[in-house]
Amino acid sequence: MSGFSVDVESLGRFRAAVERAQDQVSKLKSLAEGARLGPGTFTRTPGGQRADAAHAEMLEGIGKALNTAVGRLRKVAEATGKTMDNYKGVDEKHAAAMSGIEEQLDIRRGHQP
Amino acid sequence: MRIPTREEFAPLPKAIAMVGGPDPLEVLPQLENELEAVAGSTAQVREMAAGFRSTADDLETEAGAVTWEGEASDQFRSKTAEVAQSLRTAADNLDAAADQDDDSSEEIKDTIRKILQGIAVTAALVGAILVFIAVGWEVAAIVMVLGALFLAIAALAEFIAFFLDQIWWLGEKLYEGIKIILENVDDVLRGAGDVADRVLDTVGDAADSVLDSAGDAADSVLDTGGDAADSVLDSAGDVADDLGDTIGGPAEPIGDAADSVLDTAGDVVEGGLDTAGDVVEGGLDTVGDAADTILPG
Repeated sequence: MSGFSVDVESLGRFRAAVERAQDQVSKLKSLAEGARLGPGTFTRTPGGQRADAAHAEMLEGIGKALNTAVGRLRKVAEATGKTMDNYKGVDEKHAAAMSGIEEQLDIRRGHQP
Repeated sequence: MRIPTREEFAPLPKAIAMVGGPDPLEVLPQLENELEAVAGSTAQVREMAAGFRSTADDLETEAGAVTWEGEASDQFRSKTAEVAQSLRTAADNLDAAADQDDDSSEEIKDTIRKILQGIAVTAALVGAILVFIAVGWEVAAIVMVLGALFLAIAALAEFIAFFLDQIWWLGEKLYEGIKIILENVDDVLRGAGDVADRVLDTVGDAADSVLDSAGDAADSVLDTGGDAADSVLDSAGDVADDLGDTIGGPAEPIGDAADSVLDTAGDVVEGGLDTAGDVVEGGLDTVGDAADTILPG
């Protein structure tokens, strides 16, 4: 551990939460499908047809919004994952650096009278 | 909402047939509807809104639990809060759309009721007029009664047309209202997208920057550590040389010299370790700084 002020594990839990959020929002799509209404719901008059169209457009818009939200959450999850990987990489480099220094010191100690 | 058949408005169909002209009762099939289904549909829209809110809460809770300090973490939390807020705003908009859907449904129901009441009242009036004909009035009176029937039916047609216009207006109002709300949802979520993109870009850049900086820092630590170790080894070599010189000198000072040499050697060892320690700490600080400054202001 490099002693960074980042707890990679808790960052991992955040990424898991974002992934859960993706799933949750994806499941909402089925609700949007279930919320569809047949033609003639708001009467078969021209005004009713206009209202039917409004309702259908609302659900279409919601579906699009859900897709956008899922996509954006996926990006956040990917970014978080990348950050985690990079911090881990930095940790490993630090560990290697520390190990190198320790080796040098051990060699030096071996030369002590 | 059930729409009665034209027969249920007897004797109006008979009167309409008597006077001829357009049939106002042709509106009845047009009024058929499934308005009771709207409430179930809007309930699902509200459930979606609730899903957005719980997603936002979950994200914020988890982001708050991340142990991360420094400028980068502040940016991370700020952007996460923006994403969460955009989801909540989208949820509010979905609720508003559902409310508008429900309101329109109720208003259309009211309008249909008014139309049906108007037809029922006209049917009752027509029934009363037909009674006069049935009891055998004079021809002139019958003509007048038929004229009254015609006027009553024409008035009913006007009445129905007025309320059909009202249904049209309600549908248009719903359509325009929903359109505005959805544009708002789109704007909000696009904003969330921008936020997510900025987080992605920034964190991505930051991550690259961290890797570069960490790589440099690690190399620097290794190089400096190597130098420090060499320096320690050189110093130790000098001490060993000093020791050799001292041993080769007069016998009496050997004990003092040995103590001195041992002290000096101890100092050198401590100094070497301190130097190496500083180097390690310096390296960690460098990388720590790199991590803290990963996000540009």
